Amino acid sequence: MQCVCAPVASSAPAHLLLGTAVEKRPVRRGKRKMANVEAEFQEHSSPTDEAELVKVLGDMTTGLEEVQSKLVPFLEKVKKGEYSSNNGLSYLDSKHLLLLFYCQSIVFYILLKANGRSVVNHPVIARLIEIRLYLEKIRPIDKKLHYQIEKLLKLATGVSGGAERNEPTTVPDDLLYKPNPDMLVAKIDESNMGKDAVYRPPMIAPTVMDDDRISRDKKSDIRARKDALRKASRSSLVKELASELEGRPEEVKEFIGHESKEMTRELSRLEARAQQEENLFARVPLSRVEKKRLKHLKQSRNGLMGMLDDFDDDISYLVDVEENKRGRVSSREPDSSLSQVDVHLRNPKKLTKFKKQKGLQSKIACLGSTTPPISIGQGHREDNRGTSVGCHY
Amino acid sequence: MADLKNCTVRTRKFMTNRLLARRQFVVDVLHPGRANVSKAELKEKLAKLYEVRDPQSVFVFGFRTQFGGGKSTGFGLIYDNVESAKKYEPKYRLIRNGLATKVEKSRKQMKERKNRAKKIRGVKKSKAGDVQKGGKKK
Repeated sequence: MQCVCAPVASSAPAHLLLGTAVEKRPVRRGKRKMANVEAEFQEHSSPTDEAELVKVLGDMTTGLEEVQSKLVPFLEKVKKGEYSSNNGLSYLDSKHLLLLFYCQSIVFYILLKANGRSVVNHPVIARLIEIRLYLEKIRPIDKKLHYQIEKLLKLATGVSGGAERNEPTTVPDDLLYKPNPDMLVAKIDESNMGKDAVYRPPMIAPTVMDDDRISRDKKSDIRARKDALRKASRSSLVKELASELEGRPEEVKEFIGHESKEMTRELSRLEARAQQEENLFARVPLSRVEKKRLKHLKQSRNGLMGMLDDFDDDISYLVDVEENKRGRVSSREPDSSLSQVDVHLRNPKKLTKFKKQKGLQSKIACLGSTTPPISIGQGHREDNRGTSVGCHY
Repeated sequence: MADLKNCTVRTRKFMTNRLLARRQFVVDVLHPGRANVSKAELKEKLAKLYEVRDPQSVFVFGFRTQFGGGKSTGFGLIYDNVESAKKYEPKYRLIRNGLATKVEKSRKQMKERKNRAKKIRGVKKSKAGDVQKGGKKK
């Protein structure tokens, strides 16, 4: 038995136009073949199988008859040229075509099997796979057009039947097929509320339920570690080590007088505060804690921790040689404030200029070198001459 | 004391604030040897610097002298016109600039009025009634 579906099956679907897609002859011949096959099977197979097979084949023949009945007038129309495909095939047409080819190929495949021919490496298998692939590829489009197609079908069934087969893309107003937000289905299904007494949260998005809660000692451990890290970052030793490791260039900061850690920290804090004030374009008065801290720092301790140090003070004893001659000449370096105080105590006549500091409670007189000496602290010196200019700390 | 040396005025963080119709910036004043610079003088200098037509639309505030003296930092605003200044500036700054007058509210009177109003309940707390009552009491 020859297989006459072959010439149709071998042509690629993309190049086919509607006119040459299906031939009348192969359909009829296929039906004849089926009848023959039926007869053959009736001879060779078992009764139950046979009955089933007969039924199935009967279905197929009826299907084929139907298709033929529908197809013949259609083909006539196509031959007349009513359906022009100048603009190419629309989605639905191509889908129909593909499905038809698929059915064809399946039928041919069954035929082969029924005849007992080998189907291994037969081109029909490749064909089947190809068509299957195409169908899979166009499935997402199907999903997207689902709404439109549904609407069209409703329209078609609603309107009493004389409507011709319209192509969905030539509908005048595409906005009719815009999505309808009123028809949206809620994600949360309210129907499950009343079923059982237990409340089950709606599973909308995947969430992580962390069972492991950090225990108290672990929390304190973490906090202690953070604190240690912060303290280490502040210490100068660690900073030196870090800069050495990173290979940063060495910073040399000039130290004038005595530098206390608290003072530097407080100054940096005040600077940060000033920066924020500038950003916010507003002045904020000092809080109670800040005032207390500043007051504590401004108390006179060890020469005010270098706050009042001035370069003039350092060199003034070098410049005024006359005064130095009277008292003991100090040979020490004028670096630390401690030595400064020493110098003062030894040479009370030498007067140093202290700058008038704003905001300080202490008023240290700013005097020239010819005025009487200042007494600092409890003066036990005999050199202390004259009146002491009021010096309040 | 040394006579008034010249001071240097510099502005930083300049920003044009279109929403409030003004230009705002941080003012740095360098005044070595001087205590600090008066606001009026600063206004003049800024008006000259930014070529404003009306020096009354310049406002300066929040000046703080840095530790050791010689430098002060504050804020400055220049409004597009006096009307927008009157609209957006707080009352106390307008009073400082002379664009508004302070309403003198006697604190004692206000307290007396409040105490009188405590005794009456509802809408009858009208001022005339209060004064009358006060008079009657005496």
